[in-house]
Amino acid sequence: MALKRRCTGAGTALAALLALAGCAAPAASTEPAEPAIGAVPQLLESVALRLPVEDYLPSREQNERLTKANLALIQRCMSRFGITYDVKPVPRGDYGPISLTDRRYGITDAPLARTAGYGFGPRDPALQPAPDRPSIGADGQTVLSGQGRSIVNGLAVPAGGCVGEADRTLNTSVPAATDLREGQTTQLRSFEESKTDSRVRKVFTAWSACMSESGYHYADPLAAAGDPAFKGPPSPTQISVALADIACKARTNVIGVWFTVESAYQRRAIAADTRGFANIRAAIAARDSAAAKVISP
Amino acid sequence: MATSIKRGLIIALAAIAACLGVGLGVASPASATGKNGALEAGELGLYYFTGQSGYLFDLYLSDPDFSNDVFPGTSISANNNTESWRNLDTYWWRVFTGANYTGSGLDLAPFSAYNFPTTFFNTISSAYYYTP
Repeated sequence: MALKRRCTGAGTALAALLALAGCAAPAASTEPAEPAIGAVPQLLESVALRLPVEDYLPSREQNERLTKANLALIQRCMSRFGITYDVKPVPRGDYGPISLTDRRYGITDAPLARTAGYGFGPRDPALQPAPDRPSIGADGQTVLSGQGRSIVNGLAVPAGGCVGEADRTLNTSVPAATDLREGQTTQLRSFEESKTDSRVRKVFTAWSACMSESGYHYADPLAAAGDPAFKGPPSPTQISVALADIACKARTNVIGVWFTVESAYQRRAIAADTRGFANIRAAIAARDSAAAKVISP
Repeated sequence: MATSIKRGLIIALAAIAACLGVGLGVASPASATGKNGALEAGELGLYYFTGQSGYLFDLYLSDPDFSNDVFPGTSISANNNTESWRNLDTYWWRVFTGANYTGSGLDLAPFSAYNFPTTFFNTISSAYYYTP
């Protein structure tokens, strides 16, 4: 880990030196550091909020078709090698966060927090039945992943294994220049940007002051959710902190501010590359079309 | 210039990964619950370095908090310490920057293998599997 950290540190120092020397790529100099926001709504529940970038992410239905098509292609590929990849489609369950914004800004569900603290209670993913593990042996692992020998049962293993072959089949109609994951990257970047935005920092400060009134000291709501003291079954203290957390979010409007600010960062990113984002949406549709063909009877 | 420096850094990281890989050659026997340092069908692998290299943290079941997890066979924490993934599961996995599935999340498709976006490097603290 020390080596990894040292390299990261060296990279950061290098970037700083390059920036000082004027060698780095020019920054988006005309872009204000913080995007403008309009009126901030008063919000507490985040689960039903929809971020702008979600227009450029695959829908749940598209992901479901992709899953089925991927599995069907892999099973066909594996069968060429005489290997049965006997995996049943997995049932959908109501475990964990149910949307991109559920718990994105920390917990907001007071009735659940009264019994589960920072946990999920009956929706705890740990309560899901353990899935069957496919039993395919070493040859099967090689054919599936492409790792190991290049020939199995007299046949050449495709590049990246049957996983790679299925991926190429489903992405045939996706232009090479289009990164289907750009929407995901955007939502990750906007989240990080929003955490350092002055308006969000200000509301964190207000939230922290509110928490202090109850005797709890955290820099921001996610620090409370990640408190190592809150492992295992919810203690009375954990429940008390969780309820104070939610009450302080309501009082200081953490969710309203954070969601509004993050949405502004996403809108700015999308507006800066409208053609690129339109291409992403088209590519997602093209891949979905390919997936639908694979699983159509 | 920036590109060659970046390439140099990647080469250096690859060399480090190769060194670390020496210690990865001895994987524990297959476990029904993952976290044994060997990625098997039905598991999500989270890797210390990009390109699915370096130490491996393999998950078979959901985990709400990596803070007490290490890369198997090492004393190196797996929390906030991964840069790439390989999903050998038929399930989707969603990984989060915060414990208890809070913060920003990223969906990892079944059978996918990529580097995390750089903004997601060394930030993952919880993960669960799901069906869309």
